[in-house]
Amino acid sequence: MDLFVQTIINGLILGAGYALVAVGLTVIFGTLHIVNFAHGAFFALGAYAVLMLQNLGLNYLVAVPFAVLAVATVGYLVEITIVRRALYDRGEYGSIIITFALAQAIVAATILIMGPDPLPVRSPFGQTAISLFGFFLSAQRVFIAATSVVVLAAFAWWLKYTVRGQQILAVSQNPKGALYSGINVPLIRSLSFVLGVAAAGLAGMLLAPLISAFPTMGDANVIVAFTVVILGGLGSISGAMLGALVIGLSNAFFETYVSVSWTSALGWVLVILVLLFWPQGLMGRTQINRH
Amino acid sequence: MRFKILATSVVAASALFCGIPAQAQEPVKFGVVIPLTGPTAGYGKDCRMAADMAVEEMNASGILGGRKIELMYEDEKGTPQDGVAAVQKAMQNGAKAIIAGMNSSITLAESAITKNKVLHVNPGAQADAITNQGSPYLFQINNTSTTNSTIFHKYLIEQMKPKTIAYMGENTEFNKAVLDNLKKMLESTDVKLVEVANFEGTTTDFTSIITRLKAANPEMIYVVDAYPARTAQIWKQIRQQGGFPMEAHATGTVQASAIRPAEGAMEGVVTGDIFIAEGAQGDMAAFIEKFRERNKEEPNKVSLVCYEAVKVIAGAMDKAGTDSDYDKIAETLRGNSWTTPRGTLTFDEKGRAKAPNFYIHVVKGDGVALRDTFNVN
Repeated sequence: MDLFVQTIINGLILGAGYALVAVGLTVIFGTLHIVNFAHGAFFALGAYAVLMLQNLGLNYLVAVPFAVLAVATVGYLVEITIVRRALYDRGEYGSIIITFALAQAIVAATILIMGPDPLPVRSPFGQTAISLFGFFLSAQRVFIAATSVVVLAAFAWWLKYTVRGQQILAVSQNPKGALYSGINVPLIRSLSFVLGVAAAGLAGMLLAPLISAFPTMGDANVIVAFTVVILGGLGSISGAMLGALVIGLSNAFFETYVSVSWTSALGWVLVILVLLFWPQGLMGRTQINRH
Repeated sequence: MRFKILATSVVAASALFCGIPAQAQEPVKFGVVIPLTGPTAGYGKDCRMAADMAVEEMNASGILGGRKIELMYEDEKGTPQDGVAAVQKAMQNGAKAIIAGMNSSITLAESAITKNKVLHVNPGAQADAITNQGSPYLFQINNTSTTNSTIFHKYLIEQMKPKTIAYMGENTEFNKAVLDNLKKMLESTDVKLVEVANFEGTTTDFTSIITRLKAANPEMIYVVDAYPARTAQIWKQIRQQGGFPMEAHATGTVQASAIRPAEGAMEGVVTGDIFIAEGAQGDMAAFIEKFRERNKEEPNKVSLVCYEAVKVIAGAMDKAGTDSDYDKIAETLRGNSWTTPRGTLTFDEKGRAKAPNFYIHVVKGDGVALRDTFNVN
């Protein structure tokens, strides 16, 4: 029974971390219809941003918000110089090639500037473990889960109850209709891209104390994010959250009770099964609503 | 035009009179296929510094009749497909020898391309399967995983005396060889292997795996992973879950690039390798000192084997009097002994070198401390 409860805890905490990586990916796809293969590179940029601020003497918790701003700034520069010029209204195929090239360029630049070796990112939670009713919780993982829940809840609220949030949803549903309604579509697109990459960066900052900062740290995480996003439904924020929890819990249970070796295939098996019965993913919109 | 003819005549006449073959001015190119990007790029960086240092020494010594050695670096990016492409590119660009081998699965793929075509020296990859193929021009500088694991496992079983072991490793050729060796060695003992968890390289979190292993209540955890960032992550997560009474990590894979980001989580972990800086003497001490001076960094096993690979290839080509008669070069490599910082290396029929010594390490601070030394032969 103890192992069962511990596995649920492991799965929920893991899922909360996946959600943060996946939400940025799905926001960019949902609003801009860009399959962002550079998501993992922005994830790594987040980790390096917080590391550089730490090296300047800032505490980890203070450095995180500034690092989010730094990644958002880089994201905005990429948006106005590359994404806006080359990707909008060009379809998903072009975006795959260009964002993949962008990812390679960011990783190469990171290696040149920071070197290839993994670098430690220190968090005040360190390697502390919390024992609650006999169950183990990693303090950094709890921090990640709590931040993830707060950020995602705030984001969901912002989308639903603010004008800008509603404008993002309007552009994601029908950009031309949004333009005719007087919405500043280029601004909303920029905002969506910046929010998406900032979420990726934040995920990198939060996970860096666990996995260290290294140039290709985003690769494996972005693969999981893709399974989460496809499972939840491309472009659906609530779907990404649900997908993250499903993958997190499934991975934890499968690793603990069935087979460690087969766990990496599990996410894709779930994706195939879900797509067989719900082609739009668990909470995706039907194609008729897309343009 | 008249000047060109005159210049050519002067060069030709000089070469003739001095008795230097026309090819004397052409450099001998070695293709160095290592990870320059990707998760093991740190190994590539360590290898490159050492290979460059070896070339500087060789070129200054006037070896190969004064022909300069030129290294052509290609990036294998930590994947077999990129490794194969990089080896092909180096061969097309005229490499007379290929130095490639940091990861066993990648080296296996690369060796299919070099087989019977070009001299291939694998500096670091350990899996026995690489040299079991019977490729006549393939040589290995590092010990095989069986050689290293046999000594290490004997140490774990006889010196540390765990009653139960839980094992976790990345699902690779290297891991398979180590696990097979461990299972074989445990057959004749009372030590039980209570859990085996082979994970994929795409695994991003190890909490559930460690929970599973802890549930089996083993006395020893044995981790087999060669990727520095992941090694640090695994040990951090092991520490967060309270650790295990005895802890060991696969041989030849624990470098400072894993220990530093682990931030103390690897303290006390037992491992082993063919290299240790502590207590080095003679040629090894000179190598370490020169490496530190030139690169402002600490050398490690990867630096050592890459340095040795360049020197052994250059020495064999020089002794054989050819850079492209691979039968002759291979025969020279097998038929002679080679002086390196570790001592004297000899290659067996399968092209495997055996390091004279194997060291048991224990992680201490940002490095490793010597716990025991074994003679390999």
